[in-house]
Amino acid sequence: MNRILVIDDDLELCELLAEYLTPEGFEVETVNDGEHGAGRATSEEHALVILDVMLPKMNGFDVLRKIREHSRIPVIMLTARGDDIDRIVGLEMGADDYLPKPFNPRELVARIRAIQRRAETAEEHGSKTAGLEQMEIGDLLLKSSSREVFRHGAEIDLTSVEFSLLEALLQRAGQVIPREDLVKQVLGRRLSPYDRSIDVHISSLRKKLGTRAEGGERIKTVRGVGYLYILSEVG
Amino acid sequence: MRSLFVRIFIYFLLTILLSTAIGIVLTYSRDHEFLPMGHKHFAKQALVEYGQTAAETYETGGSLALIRYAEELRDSADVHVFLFSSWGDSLSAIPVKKRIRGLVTRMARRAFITEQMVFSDSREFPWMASPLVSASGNAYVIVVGLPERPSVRHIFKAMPPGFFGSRALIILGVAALLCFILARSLTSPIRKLRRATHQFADGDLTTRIGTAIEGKGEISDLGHDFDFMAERIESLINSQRRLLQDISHELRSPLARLSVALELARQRSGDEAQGALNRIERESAQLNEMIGQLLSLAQLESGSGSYPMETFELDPVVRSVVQDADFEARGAGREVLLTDCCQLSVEGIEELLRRAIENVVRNAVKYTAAETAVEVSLQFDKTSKAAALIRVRDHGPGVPPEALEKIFEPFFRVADARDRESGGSGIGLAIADQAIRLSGGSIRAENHPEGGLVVLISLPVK
Repeated sequence: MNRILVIDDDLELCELLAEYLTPEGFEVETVNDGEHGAGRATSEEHALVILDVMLPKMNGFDVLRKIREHSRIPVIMLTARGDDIDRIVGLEMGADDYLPKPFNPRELVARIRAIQRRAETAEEHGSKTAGLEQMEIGDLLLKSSSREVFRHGAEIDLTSVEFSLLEALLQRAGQVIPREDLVKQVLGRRLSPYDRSIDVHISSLRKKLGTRAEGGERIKTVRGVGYLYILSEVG
Repeated sequence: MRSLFVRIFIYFLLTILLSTAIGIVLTYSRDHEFLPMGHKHFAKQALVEYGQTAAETYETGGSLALIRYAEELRDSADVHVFLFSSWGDSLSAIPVKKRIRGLVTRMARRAFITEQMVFSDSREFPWMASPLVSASGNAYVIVVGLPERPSVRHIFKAMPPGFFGSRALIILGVAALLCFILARSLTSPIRKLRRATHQFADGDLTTRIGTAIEGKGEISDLGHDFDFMAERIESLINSQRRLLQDISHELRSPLARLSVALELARQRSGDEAQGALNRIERESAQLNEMIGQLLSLAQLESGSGSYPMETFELDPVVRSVVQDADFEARGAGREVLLTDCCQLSVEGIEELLRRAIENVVRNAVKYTAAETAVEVSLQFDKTSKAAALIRVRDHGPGVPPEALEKIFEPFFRVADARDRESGGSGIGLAIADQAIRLSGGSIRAENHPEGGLVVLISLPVK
């Protein structure tokens, strides 16, 4: 499925994007208002959504919230550059990636492909292990096949990026994983300077997972290196 | 300085007490300087009575008895009594001052001639004289002198007993209560106004006095004026915010289209166009960079962004900025080194300070010579109390001494040609300056004796 939904009120930009993305092998559908966009995004006809933050009437965050009520479809948000608050809010609300506007379309294609690759490996992974592989660490249970995470038997709602991030951390639980590796494995791109999206995803994941059963944080920041999922002494 | 409340309270209380005291003194001395009209009849009666007694004493006991009686009266009540025979001889020869003797004789003569009661005109000597006929039928003239001048101790003696007890306390209490209410009514609206001003200054632009200050008058007018001013400022700042947002959106939309169109052009054109297309890409990236920088500068200068002050560790921020900048610089054959980094917590706005430090470091990378390193250090400043000092040193050409302060002004250029080549937007350091000042710190630059520029950022340590 290579259908992409672009939600942006800039008609000409939509046209140009369609023109650029079609030769790259994508089928592009464009919608110019948020309400309609949210409806189309949850129709399960698309593989990915590109969503502008600045939309008339219903803004991008509201659209994202509405989409996330029904669907886990990957979303790339287009934000105004330098609006760090926008970036963080977008990621914490479950966007899979963000791209500051104006963006280089080559970069956009790279991000789309990275998200697709992640989804594909997840599917392969899932089909290969056929629901057998699951990890249990402490009070957490992670099912790779169904991409579900449970804490004390209760499911935690994670976005696709957050799931991949947790999976990466748990696979090497107790070891420090460099940020570069996490960005490469989870976001499918090289870590560039000033790119803090992995840190935002980590903070969002921390919030959703809560503290460990015996208290204390689950994911430790190792300054200047990366992150570490703490193995509990009991589990 | 004592508060307005205390000052008003004390001044009014003192005024009331002082005027009460002055009133008491004045009333008392007036009563004693001259007999009020209403008292004249009473005085006459008393005078006749004194006269009858004196005449009787004289008739029964002679001159000696009269003198004793007069002395007794003088000593016990400070009242002087003189008795004259009907032909004008003084019968009581107690010693008095010469001036008084003259006055008394004159008054006795006048009373004898007019056959009426006589009062002295002199305010200094309250004397009265009256002719009288004794029980035995002899005619006399009596002259009575009241105490010459009321002394202060007489005021207290004259006060009713217990005056300095409960009554004085009641007066003091009522006065104090009234003054308290007055001072409060004057200062409490000022305090409300002050609170509102603080709240407004802290960024709550919806603060209004409204009906919090009751009544009419100068202070409530001031409250209305405050509301009016707040209204204006709020709408100005809001429209500025909206304008900034609109500019950001409106300027970037064409840039976004431009960059997509650029890639399309790249796909469809041959190799000979690549150079020009790369140039277009660079220029539009620069344009975008400048829009972003200008917006954040405008935001900082207008104070329209709301940034909460927080306490945070500075060393990881510096470390990560250096890491990122080093990564970038290595691509251009330069380095960024962290030579010293101690653990410090500062108070400020982390996001802004990060950007400020980043701007300074990137600026240094831009100017440092190829194959050299920008040196960054974070230390505790020993010369000034409680300050963190970040030093960023490059190995570039430095800055002429007269321009050392100006480099923190927007769009200031030391030398046009070189700066354009280096591709700076010209406002990175201005943003750093604003951001650091918002956090209560300071930034300055100096030339290193061995060449190169040193930028020093000083931040208050928590």
